[in-house]
Amino acid sequence: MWRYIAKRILMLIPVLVGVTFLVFSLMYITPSDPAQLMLGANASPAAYAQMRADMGLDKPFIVQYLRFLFGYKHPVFGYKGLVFGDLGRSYITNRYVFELILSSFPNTALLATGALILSIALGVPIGILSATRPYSFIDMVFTVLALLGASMPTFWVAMVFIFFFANRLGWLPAMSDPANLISIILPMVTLSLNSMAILMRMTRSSMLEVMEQDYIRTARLKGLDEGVVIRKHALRNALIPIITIAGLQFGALLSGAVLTEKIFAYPGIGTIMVDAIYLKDTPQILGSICFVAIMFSLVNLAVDIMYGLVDPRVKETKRGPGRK
Amino acid sequence: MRKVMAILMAVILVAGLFAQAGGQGPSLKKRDPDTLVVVLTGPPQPLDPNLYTTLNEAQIMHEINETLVGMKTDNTFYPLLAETIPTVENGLISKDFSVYTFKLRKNVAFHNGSPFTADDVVFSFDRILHHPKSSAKSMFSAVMLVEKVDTYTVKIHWGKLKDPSFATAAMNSWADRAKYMTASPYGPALNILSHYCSGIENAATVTAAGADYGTKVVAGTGPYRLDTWPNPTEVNLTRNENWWGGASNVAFKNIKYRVITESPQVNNVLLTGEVDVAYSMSLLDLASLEKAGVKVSSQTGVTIHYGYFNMNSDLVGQKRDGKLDLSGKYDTLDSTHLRKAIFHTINPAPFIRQVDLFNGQALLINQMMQPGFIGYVEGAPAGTPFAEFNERTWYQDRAKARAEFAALTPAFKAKLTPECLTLAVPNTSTSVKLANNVKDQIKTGLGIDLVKVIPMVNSQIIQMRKTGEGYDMIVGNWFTPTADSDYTCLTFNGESIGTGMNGSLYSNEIVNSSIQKGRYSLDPKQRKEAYTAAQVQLMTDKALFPMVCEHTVFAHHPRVGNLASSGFKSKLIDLYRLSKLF
Repeated sequence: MWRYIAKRILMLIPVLVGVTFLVFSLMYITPSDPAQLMLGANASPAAYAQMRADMGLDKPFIVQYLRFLFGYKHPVFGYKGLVFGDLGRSYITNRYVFELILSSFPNTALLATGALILSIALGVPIGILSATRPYSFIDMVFTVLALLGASMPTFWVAMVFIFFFANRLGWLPAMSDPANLISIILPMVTLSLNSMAILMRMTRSSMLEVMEQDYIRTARLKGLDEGVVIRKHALRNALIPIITIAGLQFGALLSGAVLTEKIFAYPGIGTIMVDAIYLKDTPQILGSICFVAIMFSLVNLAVDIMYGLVDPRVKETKRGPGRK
Repeated sequence: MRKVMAILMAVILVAGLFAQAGGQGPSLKKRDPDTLVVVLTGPPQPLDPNLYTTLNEAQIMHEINETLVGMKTDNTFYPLLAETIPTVENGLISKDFSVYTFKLRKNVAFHNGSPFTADDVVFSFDRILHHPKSSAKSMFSAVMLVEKVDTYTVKIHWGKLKDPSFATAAMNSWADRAKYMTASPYGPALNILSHYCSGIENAATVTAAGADYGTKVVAGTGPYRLDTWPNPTEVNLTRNENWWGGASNVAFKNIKYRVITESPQVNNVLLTGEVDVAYSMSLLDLASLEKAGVKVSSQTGVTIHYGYFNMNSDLVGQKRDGKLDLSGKYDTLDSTHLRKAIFHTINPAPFIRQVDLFNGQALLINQMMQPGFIGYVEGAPAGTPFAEFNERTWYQDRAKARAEFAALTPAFKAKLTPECLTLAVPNTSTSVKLANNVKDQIKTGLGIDLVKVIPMVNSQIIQMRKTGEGYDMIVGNWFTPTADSDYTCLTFNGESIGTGMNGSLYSNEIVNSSIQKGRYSLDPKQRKEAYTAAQVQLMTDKALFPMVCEHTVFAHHPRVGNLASSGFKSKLIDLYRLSKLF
């Protein structure tokens, strides 16, 4: 297992190199000028040229990319590079990029974790309920609700929730603040709806498939209680695809809470990423995207490890053939 | 199952009833009564007024750092860190009007306890004028020297360039200024001294903090000090208990600034009472805010939305043998005819009514000067271009447009293919909508779709404006934070060519010399005549087409009392003056 984890972590390196190269290339061709951004409109041509030289913007693309990865020395603009966990300071806020990310990521993690827990807590049991009563009225009702949950745009749901629960009913705040847990209920529910619907449908189809297996029939014929059959025999075997989807959803929630965070003015990593994009704050954009990519990869790795815990057959496969 | 459905329907029905019963007004439930919550439109830059100038952090710095003098909403001045306003009568302005003496308040301390002295004033102005990152150099370019007389006295010497063509930004020290400038009165002296960029900072603190100044270390003398800045979207200030003006006069103990970029959400949080003050609401829904008890105030602002032609353009410019000239000798140029034809197709009146644009919150404007500024031309004086315009059609005069268009030579007309004119526009919602409106009006007026609208990032447009390359027209806006005509004139002063502020590269001797007269005079009458002459000539040449002056719109919760903007008619509020009415 440890070799497998080490191998997976090593596999992250080419993924991250690819991500950084892609993001850096996109930023490079974007028509924005960090030197102008730093100096404002009134800079003289000489000051502008000096600023470009100081920031290394006059260097070829590949040199700039390598500097982004491994840093360069300069009394004002120098930094150690992404490899050493330093991307310098934000052009806009003049604060260290990683400091900003670390101040925002826990907020996003809180929101995403809450949304995932809610999705699992409601999505999986409803999926099981639907699967145990296939094509019944209740199954159809939940199927329709799942379709709605999956197809309604997040921003629209967010605005409707704000209108009803904040503006009209006055039950919950419209503006979110991680220090006030009540205030994150609305964004959490908004964010969870889509993944809840997906998990519900995935659980239903996975359970239906398992419920038709011979070993389920055998368990029932043995006279086991239906609840035991569902919990111990069906659900455990149906969990692998559910965990996969839940893991992917968590990764997406960590990186894709952008709209929800913006609408609820929540100070997460999605908010600082979008603000950075609006303001063409290159170090902040690069830092945020790389951080999210790393998080996404780590979550996927954690999901793969969880397979082994849920299904011993997977653990055997990961050990490799002929090894016990 | 029927039971489940019945319960579900009942829940929906009850929720609906509650929803109907809502909207009774902003709620103060669970709000800390001592904390004022203010909306910011974007993440603030470092809280370092000498170097950074965007409005996001200006509102915060306005509470932390103080200037020598302040400006009231009626554009008169009051002393802040200075003991008195210098005047000729009190002997604090020299006989040649070029030296202002400021007696500084004693017993004023920065938030970290350091005493406020003349050294801090000299240091702050040195940073504004000579720091490589300073973005307010041109605004303060008439400062020739800031001299310490004693611990609590400074003299500010005003001047002008010996050679007007010399770039002020190239002066990097007081010695440079002494070398290239000569003493002169300066009309807007007090205006710029009351601008937030001249907030006084503590020399020792700034030097010791280095690059961390403005983010981790901030020290001013104002009524509030920085408490926490936990993430880019939230800044918390707390009352300065040792404020020289008296902490008991400061209504709220804390101010929390929250960044909310989406304007509909700003309306929502005003309605729920989660925030107290905002100026970035959606204008579509102001009536709902007022109906719910939120106070909305709207006043004439200082932001002009205008379009301009690139004088360096082959199609709409005005040059011969490679030289720009607006002396009138080249009126027969094809490019001049086309520019005037386009000018006479523009009617900004409908733009103001457009609900997704200004929704009535703007004034029609036929000159670059904002209403109330010295030199603003009232009405339509006979014999001036202003007499040509009327409230319904504004510049639009189809007969004149067609006549100018008909005067084009066939060879020039052949160049006018669809979308042959590049109209660059900053990539903001308002500017892009305005640019598309202008494009449509030109198409309707001339019968040919001449304009291609290209949204660009602002830094790219600034670079283009410096060189005059790559565009024929631009639609943008200009904000005059000093509330003085001189700063507005930067947009069409020939001396500003190459700085990125005069994007039309317009230069006319009458205009340039009028601006000089207005700038270097303290006599209000002389200044008015000079700026009026500049406006008349500018609109005769039709190099720019000012369209609307946007209102400054605030919304605030009733608990903060009557709210008025600070000086500059900008989106700045003297928050410490607010009264807490419970």
